[in-house]
Amino acid sequence: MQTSDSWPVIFPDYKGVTVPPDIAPLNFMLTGDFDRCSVEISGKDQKITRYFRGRNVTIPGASWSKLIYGNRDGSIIFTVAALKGRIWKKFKPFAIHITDEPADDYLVYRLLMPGFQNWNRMGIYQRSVSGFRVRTVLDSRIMPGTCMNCHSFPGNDPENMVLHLRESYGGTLLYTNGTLEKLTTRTGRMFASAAFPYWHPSKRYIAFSVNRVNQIFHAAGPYRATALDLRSDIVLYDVKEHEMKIPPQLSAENKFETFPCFSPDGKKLYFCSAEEKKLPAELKNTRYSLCSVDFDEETGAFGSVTDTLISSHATGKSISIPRVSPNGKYLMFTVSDYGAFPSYNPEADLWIMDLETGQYHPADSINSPETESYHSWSSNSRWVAFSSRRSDKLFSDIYLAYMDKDGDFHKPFLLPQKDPEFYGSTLFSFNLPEFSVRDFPVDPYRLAKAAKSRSSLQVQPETGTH
Amino acid sequence: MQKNKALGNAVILFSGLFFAGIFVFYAFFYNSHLHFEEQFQLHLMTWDWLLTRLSLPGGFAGYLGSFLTQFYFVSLAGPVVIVLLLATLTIVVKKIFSKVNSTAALFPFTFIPALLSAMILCNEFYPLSAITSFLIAMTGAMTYVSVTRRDRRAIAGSVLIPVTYWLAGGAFISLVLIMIVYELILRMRSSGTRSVTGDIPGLKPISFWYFVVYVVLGLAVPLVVRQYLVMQPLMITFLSEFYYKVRTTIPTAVIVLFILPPVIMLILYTVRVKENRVTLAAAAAILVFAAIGFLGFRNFANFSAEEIMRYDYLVRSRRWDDAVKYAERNPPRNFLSLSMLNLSLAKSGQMGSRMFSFPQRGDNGLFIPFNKEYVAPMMGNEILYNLGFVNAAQEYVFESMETIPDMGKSARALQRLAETNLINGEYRVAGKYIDLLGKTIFYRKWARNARNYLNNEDKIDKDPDWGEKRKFAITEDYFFSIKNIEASLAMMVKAHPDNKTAFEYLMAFYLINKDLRNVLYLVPVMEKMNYREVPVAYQEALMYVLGLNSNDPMKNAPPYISQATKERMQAYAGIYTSYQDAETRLKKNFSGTYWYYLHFGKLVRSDDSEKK
Repeated sequence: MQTSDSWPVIFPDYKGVTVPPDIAPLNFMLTGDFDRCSVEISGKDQKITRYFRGRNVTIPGASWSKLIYGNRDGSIIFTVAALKGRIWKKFKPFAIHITDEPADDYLVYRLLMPGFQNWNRMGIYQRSVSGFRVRTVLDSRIMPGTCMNCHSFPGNDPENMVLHLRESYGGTLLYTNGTLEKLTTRTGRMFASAAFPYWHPSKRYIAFSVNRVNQIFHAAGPYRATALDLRSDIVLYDVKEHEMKIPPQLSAENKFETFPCFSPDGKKLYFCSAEEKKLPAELKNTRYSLCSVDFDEETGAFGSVTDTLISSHATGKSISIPRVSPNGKYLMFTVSDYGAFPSYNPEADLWIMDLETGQYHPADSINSPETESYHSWSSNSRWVAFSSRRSDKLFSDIYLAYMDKDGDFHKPFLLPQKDPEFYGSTLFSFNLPEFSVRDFPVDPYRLAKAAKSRSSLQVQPETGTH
Repeated sequence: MQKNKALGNAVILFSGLFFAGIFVFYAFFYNSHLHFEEQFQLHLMTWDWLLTRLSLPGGFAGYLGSFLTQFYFVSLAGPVVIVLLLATLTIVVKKIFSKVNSTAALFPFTFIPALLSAMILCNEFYPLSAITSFLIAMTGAMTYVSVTRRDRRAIAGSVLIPVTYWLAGGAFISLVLIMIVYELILRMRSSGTRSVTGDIPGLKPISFWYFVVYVVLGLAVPLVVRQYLVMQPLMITFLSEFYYKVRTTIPTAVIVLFILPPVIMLILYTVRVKENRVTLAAAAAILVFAAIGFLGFRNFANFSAEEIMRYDYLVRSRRWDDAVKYAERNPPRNFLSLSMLNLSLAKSGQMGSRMFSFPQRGDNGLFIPFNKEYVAPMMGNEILYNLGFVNAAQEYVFESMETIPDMGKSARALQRLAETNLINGEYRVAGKYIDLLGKTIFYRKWARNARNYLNNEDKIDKDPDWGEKRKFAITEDYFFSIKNIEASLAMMVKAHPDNKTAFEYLMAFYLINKDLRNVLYLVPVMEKMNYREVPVAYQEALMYVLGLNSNDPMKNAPPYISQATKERMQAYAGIYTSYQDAETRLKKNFSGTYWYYLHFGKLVRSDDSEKK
C-alpha cells in the first residue's frame, strides 16, 4: 500500500467540518476513478472499518450514530484508502469535529428545479437531521400547478405555521392551535396578497411583506435571471382578530420595505428598506438598508420612528433576509451588490451582526464565491442552515454551520445524503431551509384540502386603514 | 373443412393488413408524433430510475412504456414497437375471449382493443404506458381465465388484483371487470341459460362472496396505498399517472379501453353464429371493425399537429433543406410551422430569396411569442439558439421542460441546456446534464462526445456550432424580452455584422412588417455581407423604393440588382398599374415576389393572438 501525503479529494468536502452529535452519516465519494475504497473512522474507544466497491463511502447508520454520540465534544478521524488497478493508496487522515450541541431535529425546505419562471415539480419537505428520512409537507403530486413558498414557524416550532401558495389554489394557509384555515390576505389598500412572513414570538401576530415581483432575464453571460421587487410594503396580521394592519411607517409611498423579522423578545421588528427606484432601469442602484422599528405587543402598534442600522449608502451594498438568533445576540443577513433577491446574485454572502455591539462583518468562514442566501437559526442559536449555490453556481444546496460560544463559525458542511452521488444527479434546488424542532403536525391531504377549499377567510383591514 | 381453412386464411390476411396498416400509418403518416413523444421524456437506464418507478402504483408499466418510447428516436423503430405491442395485446385478448366464445368467424372482435389502443396513441397526451399497462392487466386477466379450478381461481383473483394494481395502475379496473363478467358468464352457463361455446366448457363459477372480495379489494387497495404509501390525488390513486399526461383530466379514451374487453365478452357470449352464416358473420364483423377504425382514426388523429411536429423534427435534426422541401408540399398553416420553415430557409441560405414564396403573415412567423406551455417555447428555443441568443434559448428550453404536462423531464431540453451551459462556460452544470444524458440509450453517444468539451475552452471555440455561438456572444448584457426582439437583433447585427442569420432575420422582420425605411438602413450592412448574388427579396424591396423615389429606377438601380429583377418589376408594375383586378392577375406569376406581399399580403401583428 502506498501512503500519500495529501488528503483525499472527496465530495461533499467533510474534511475538518464541525457536526452536531446526532447528524446523519456523512457519506461521501472520492473524486476520481477507483475500483475499491476503504474507510476507517476512529474515535475514543471505537472504530468503524468498511470496504466499498467503487468510490462511494456509505457508512452504516447504527455504527455511525454510536460512534459520533460517543465522541461528542471531540473529534473522529477518517482514514481513507483507495484501490486503482492493483495499488492501494492510503490518504492522509482527516478529522471531523463533533459538538455537544445538537441542531434542531428537522429541516423543512422547498425543492424545485432552478432556472427561470416555470416549474413542473415543486414541494416542501421535511428532512430528519439525524437520518435520511424525508417526509412530504406538500408537493405537486398532491397540488399540481401550485407554487408553494415561505413556510414559516415561530420559534422553529411547526405547531404554528403559515404557508403561502400562489397560482392554482393560491392563498395563505394558517395553522394555529390545531386549526387550519385558508386566508385571503389581500385587503384594504394592499396592492397584493401577503407574501414573505415572520411570526411574532407571541404567535399573536405575523408580519408579512407584500411584494409585486417580476422576473427578467439576462441576455448575456452566466447570469440567468433576476427578480425585481417592483413594489413592497410590510403589513401586520393579527391572528386573533383576523385583522390586517397596514402601518404607514412600513408602507411609505417612496420606499420599498420588505423582509420583516421580529426580535426574539418581540419588541423590535427588523426589516429591509430601499428608496423607490424605476425598475429594471435602476436595478443596480437599488440597495436595501437594514432598519428596525419598535413594536408593542399589547397594542400591536409599531413605533413612529424607524432606525437605520446599516445604511446602504454607507456600505454600497444591499441587505436582505435579516434573521435574529433565538438568544437575541446575533443578526444574520444576506448582502449583495443590489436588489432584494440575493439568490440571483453570485456575490451574495452571509453577514453577521453582534446586536450588543452593533458590529457587523461578513461571515467569511461560511461564505463562498457563489451565492449564499436564505438562512435559518437552530433554536439553541448554535447552528445555521443556509442555502448556497457553491457546488455548481446554479443548484442551491443546504449547508449547516456551527457557531461557537465566541461567535465564530466553523467550516460548514453540505447536508449529507444516503447516496453520495445524489447531488451530482438531482435536478432540484434546495431552498428556504428552516429548522424545525418537531415533526410536521399537519397531514399533506389536510393541507391540500384546505388549499383547494373554495371558501377562505377574508382578512379584514384594521379599522382606519382601508 | 374448406370453410375453416378459408376462415383461417382470412384471419391471417386480416391480421397482416391490420398490423401492416398500423405500421404504415405510424411510419409514414404519423411518424413525427412519435419523435415528439420521445423528445419530451427522459428515460434513464439506471437502477435508481427503475426503483423510483417501481415504488409507484402503475410504475412498472410506466417504466416499460417510457423504455419502449425511447425507441421512437429511430424513425422506423417506433412503429415496430407499437405493432409488436398491439400484436401481443391481440394474442392475449384472443385467449381471454376464446374462453367465452371461440367461434372463428368473430375473430375481428379480438382486434378491437388493439384498434382502440392504436387510435389512443394518436393523441400525444396518451403515453405508450397507457397501452403497456393495459397489456399487463390483460395478461392478468388471461391468467385468471385460464385457471380451471374455482377455488384456485378465487385465490388467483385475490392476488392478481393488488399485483396488477401495483404493476399497471388503473388498468386493474379492467381486470376486475373481466373477472366479474367471466364469473357471471360461467354462472349463466352452469344454469344452462345458454349453450356452451367457449374453450373450456363446464367450469364452475366462484362463490358470490368472492365477487364482493374482488370489489372490496379493487376499492380498498388503492385507498390503502394512498393513505400509507404514496401521496396523490384520489383520481390518480385509482388510475395512476401513466395513462394521461394531464393529471387533472380524466382520460376518457382509456376508460373506454378498460371497459371494452368485458363488454366484448358479454357480446361474444350472447352472439351465436350458425354454421351456414359464418362468412356473413365474419364479413359483418370486419365491416363493423372497419367502420370503428375509420371513424376512430378520424377522431383521434390530428394531422395539423403532425405537420407542426414534422417541421419541428426536421429543424431539431437540422435537416434544413428537407424542411423547405416539406414546405413545398405542405405549406405552413400556422405560425409555429411557418417559424420553423423560416428558420430552415435562413439556415439553408434561402431566406432572402424564397421567404415570400411561402405565405408570410407577420413577425410571429419569425419569432414565437412566449407561451406558458411546452411546445412553443421548445420550438422558439431553436430560433433563438440559431440566432446566437444563447441565454434566451436557454430560458425558452427550460420553460418548455418545466411545463411538460406529465411533470417529467425532456432529453431534448437537457441536451440544449447542456449546450448552452457549455457555450457559457458553466461546466459543472453542463456536466450534470451531460451525465444524465449519458445514462440514456440514444443520447449516450452524444453525451460521451460532449463530455470531452467540458473545461476545454479551445475545443469549444473550434467547434463549428458551439464555437460560432461563442463568437457571436453578446458582450454587453441587457434584459432580454421577445417583445423587444427587433432591438435585440439590431444590437446583435451591430456587434456582429458577420452573423448572417441574425442579419437576415432582421431584414426579414422589416420586410414582413413592410418597414422599408429600416430595410434601407440595413443596406450598408447588406453590402458588406459579400453576397454572390443579393437575395431576390432584398432586390425587390430596393427596386420598390427606387421606383417611388426615382424617375428611372431601371437606370439608377445599384449594380447588384439583377436584370431579371428589373424585368420582373417592369412586368409586375405593368399589371399592377393597369388592372383593377391586379391581385388576381398577379397571383399566378408574382405571388412569390416581395411586391405582391407588400401590396396584398395580410399582416398579423405580433400582439394579435393566434390560436394554435
